[in-house]
Amino acid sequence: MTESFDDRAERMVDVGWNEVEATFDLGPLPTEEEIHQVEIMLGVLEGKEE
Amino acid sequence: MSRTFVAQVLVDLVKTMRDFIKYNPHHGEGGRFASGDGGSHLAPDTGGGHGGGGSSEEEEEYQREIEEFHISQSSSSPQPSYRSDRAAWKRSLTDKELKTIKDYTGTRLYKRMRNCMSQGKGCSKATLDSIQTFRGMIDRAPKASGTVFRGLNLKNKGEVAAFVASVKNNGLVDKGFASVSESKSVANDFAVGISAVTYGKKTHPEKGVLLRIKSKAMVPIAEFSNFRGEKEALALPGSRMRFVGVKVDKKGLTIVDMEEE
Repeated sequence: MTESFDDRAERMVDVGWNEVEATFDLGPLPTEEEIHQVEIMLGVLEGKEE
Repeated sequence: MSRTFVAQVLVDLVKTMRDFIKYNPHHGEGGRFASGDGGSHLAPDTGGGHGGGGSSEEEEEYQREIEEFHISQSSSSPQPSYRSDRAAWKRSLTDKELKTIKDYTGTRLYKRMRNCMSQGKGCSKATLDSIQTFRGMIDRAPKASGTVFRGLNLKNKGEVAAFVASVKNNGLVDKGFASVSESKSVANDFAVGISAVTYGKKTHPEKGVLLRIKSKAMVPIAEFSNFRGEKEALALPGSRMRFVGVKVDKKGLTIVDMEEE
């Protein structure tokens, strides 16, 4: 059996949070405040790639 | 059947074939992925762009960013040794091992292995046997170091932020064998959901994360894959990665730099 494009994508990408958790041990989840701080940081960083 | 109808069918067929060729790794020249000896070079991307199409300037930028993977030897062994060790390792592979690695890259075996190793689900006798065979083969393979990539395609920006906050706090540990690509371009496409383009949908870089990992010990397996252009390598179970930094590119894709400890 060979794969479709989507099958190949599945192997090198985690689609959705559940797959991320299936691939990696993430440790304790961050707090709402920590997530919020990162959201602000990513907003500031947007479009300012090196 | 009218001539007009037949002509339209032919036009549609040609269009379909063009789309297929665009994504078929076995069509190197001008195709989406390179073919050839081991897929060691990505073909020039003439397929309309990353992330659903961009300007020629952005395309050039992406092309520049394609980071060719250089197998530098692991710190414990010199380059000639790595090459000869790898050649010896490849010669040592049994038929069963070759079939297992082919199945991993060519069927959904990887998913069964991952579910079993990380969640204890679906651990049939056949899957356990495959894991044992795979593990034995990869354990004795000489390890390479270099920069590799993996994509994450999440639900929304909030999940992206949650992931970044999590890796900032705790880093990452591979639960099982994690497939990575030696090509930034390949992982980037997966992260933004490029397959959606096949179905006429838009990509979403803002929901994607590109992990850029400085790995110390991985096993390149591209030459065993049905899709050599993906330049696949394996990160090993239990690999620990620490957070190095984060940036967001012009298309909104979050790029997270990690380093294997």
